Amino acid sequence: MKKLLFLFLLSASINLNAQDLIKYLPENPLLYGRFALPTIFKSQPLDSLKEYAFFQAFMQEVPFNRQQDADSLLTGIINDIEKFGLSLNSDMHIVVSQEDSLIQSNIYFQINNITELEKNINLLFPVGDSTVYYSAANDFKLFIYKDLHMAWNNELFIVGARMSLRMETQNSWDLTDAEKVLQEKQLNERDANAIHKIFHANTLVAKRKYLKKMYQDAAIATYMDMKGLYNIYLDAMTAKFRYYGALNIFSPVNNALPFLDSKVNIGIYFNNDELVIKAKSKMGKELRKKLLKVYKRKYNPGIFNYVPEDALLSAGIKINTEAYINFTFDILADVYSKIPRYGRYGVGVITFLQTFMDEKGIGELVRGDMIFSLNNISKKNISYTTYDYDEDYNSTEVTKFNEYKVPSFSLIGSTGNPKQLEKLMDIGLDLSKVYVKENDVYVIRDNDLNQIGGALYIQITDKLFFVSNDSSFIYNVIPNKGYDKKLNAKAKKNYKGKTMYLDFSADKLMKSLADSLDEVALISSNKLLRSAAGKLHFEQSFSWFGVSTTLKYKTSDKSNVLPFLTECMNQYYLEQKNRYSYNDYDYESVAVDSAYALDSTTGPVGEPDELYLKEDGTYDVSAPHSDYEQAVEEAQPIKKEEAIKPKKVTSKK
Amino acid sequence: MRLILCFFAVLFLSSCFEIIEDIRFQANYSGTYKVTINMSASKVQINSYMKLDSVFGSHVPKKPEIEKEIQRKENLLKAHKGIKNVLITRDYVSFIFTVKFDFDNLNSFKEAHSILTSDKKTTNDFFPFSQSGNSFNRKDKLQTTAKDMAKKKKEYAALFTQSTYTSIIHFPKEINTCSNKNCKLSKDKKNMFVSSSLENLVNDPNYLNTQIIFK
Repeated sequence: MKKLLFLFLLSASINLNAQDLIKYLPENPLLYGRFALPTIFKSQPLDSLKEYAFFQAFMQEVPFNRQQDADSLLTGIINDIEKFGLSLNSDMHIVVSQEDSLIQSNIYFQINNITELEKNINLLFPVGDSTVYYSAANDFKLFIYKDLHMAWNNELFIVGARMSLRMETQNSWDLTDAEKVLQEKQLNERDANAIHKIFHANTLVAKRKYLKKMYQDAAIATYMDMKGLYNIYLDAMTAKFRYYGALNIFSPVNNALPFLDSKVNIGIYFNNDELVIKAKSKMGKELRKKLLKVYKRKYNPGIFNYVPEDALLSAGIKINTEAYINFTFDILADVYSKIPRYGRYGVGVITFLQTFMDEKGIGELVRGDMIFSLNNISKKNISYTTYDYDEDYNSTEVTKFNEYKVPSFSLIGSTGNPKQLEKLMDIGLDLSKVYVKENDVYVIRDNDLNQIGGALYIQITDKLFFVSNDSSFIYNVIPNKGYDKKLNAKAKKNYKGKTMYLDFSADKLMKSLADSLDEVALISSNKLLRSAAGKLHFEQSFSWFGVSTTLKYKTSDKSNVLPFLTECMNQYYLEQKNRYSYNDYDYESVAVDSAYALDSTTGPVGEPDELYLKEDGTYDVSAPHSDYEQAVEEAQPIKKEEAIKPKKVTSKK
Repeated sequence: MRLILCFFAVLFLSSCFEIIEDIRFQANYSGTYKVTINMSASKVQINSYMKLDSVFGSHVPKKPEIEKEIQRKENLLKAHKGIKNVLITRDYVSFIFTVKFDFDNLNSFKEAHSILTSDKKTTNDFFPFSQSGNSFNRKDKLQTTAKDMAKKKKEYAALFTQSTYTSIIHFPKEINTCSNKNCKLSKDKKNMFVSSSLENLVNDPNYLNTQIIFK
């Protein structure tokens, strides 16, 4: 009954016959995303996307039709999909899965016209073309062209790409042309078997448990197996390093996988005037147990008295500092303990620190419940020197003023040992002239703060500590025990039970920063700025069942939210590219450099550190790498047959 | 906390500075040179930048580094024949720096100018001023630092548009003609004034070039 109900609900949210689709989904995907295309295009019109630089830049990166401009290319793609025999009026599905050492990324479309589709495929990749590999099984036809593959039956069209975690094709330079062709054929056969396995629709539908946990009514719903994804990411990243025999810099992360073990579901909704992103994550038992201790903390109710109602930004976090320190040490110790050879030094340092650190004492000083507020943007006049000139151009110094906008903030946290905290704060008092104590308030007035006409204030009361650059907060709000009591209840309700909470009024901040009415008008007239001028709300709670996160973005112009976000990412990417020339970053040369660095430190007869891939897919730590072997041959007059050779990796059939 | 303040300062403020060159020539082309680098309008940002290692990929020198370099230049100037009354002032609160010295003739001025504008590794023989007969010429070329900055035009855009360079030259005799339309002459026609944004100078290296003919 439960299964029937689940299938019924799923059918309602998936246009393609749910039974038919589900049986073609893998049982344990690394990533599955369902995109309700009609809902998405209704909310975020494709036409608006075309206007933005990020989209045009993206289209330029598409390997086909480079000469065409982005606009005609977009129109072409949309029209072609329909002409190609596929439907844009149904859901699109993206699946990343692993079969043996083969990672597949597939996109599923519903077929509109199978005759048209097959005609187009034949036109693009004619049967008989020696570079194309065709096969058929399980009602699916399949063709493979290099790393690209397409598969289809009467209803479903799947286009995808593959990545092998094995290194066999890297060795192809020492093969003859005939051997290369044979190797490619063997690989294509192996890949075809793996791909067909996915479409082998004889397993029970109910085995796809992950579908039950997904956000059924979201415009975009995704499921991610974080451990699996990290694994393939690390495998891909470390492939070059392994190949050149360099120290695997990612091994610490690899060893931390038990801590990254989680299943994440994300749902994106385009509601009337807001973009809502919901996420829930269920971790492995080990991580959950540790995090439960970290998040087992309640806000000191007194903190809520000091949260202003109309803050531009208000953010809170509650953790158990003692448990958090222990958690950090545990992770670090675990990671280092698994690193060959050098890991023990890391464990040693951690053990040393842990022995002398009083986690409990620190946890009492700063308990871990804190709220930060960006209260407002105030204007300050700051003097500067410039010059005026008389009629003979003799200069005289004059003082003028610049208007600066300075943010006023406050941070309130709780302490279990205020006396000790005060003692700590007293330490620097006699040592510096810029750090003084005035009426129980610690004040820092150094050069920077003086120049922007302010100071940093720290005050400690019975159970709370305050940090702010706003004197009126320190001298008016704190003596009055906070703001209006009604606000306390409101803040308490907002923050209750949430491990993290954030409210950000981007609209208010933009208006505060605007210098004139013209700039305010600019915000209203510019589509992207108008979309950005919204209200962001984020909250996260943690329970035995995992982490639950909600992010809402409310804006008067929802249709440009995605363009705005992607435009920001594009700007950030361009800036980074410009600043650091990331394009020139070459992992291969880094790997080679690392390999040489390793050789120069350990010497040619040193002990190889690198893991080597064996035929059964596991790693052999004892086999030396090829550079190492070469170095041994060059440096030592030993017999070639005595040198240990790395085992040749062959594909697993 | 300082990092947060730095972040806000960088986020909310844009920087600018002014460079003022004031040259007072005597009839024999001896004279006084004074250059002022005034960054007081950006003192908040400069304070923030000085806490960083680099800005836009360029190294940000720390106070001891700046002092060391100033001291080095001061010693070189003081030891130079034909250069007298060397005075370098620095104000690390308002970030105003001045260099002032007297020179015996144009050649001494050229050498002093080379000391000021060249870095440790390269020598800079370029000198914009020359004199022949009844005329005085200025011919500039974009210096290496400015060229480097021009390459990063996008990052330094605000700096270029808001920062200014001013050149004032006082002569002992009246100017008859000045070939540069950007130059202004004082009422008594003995003083020449030209001021421009750095953006203009980067875009047009000939902006300051001029030929002056005296009466």
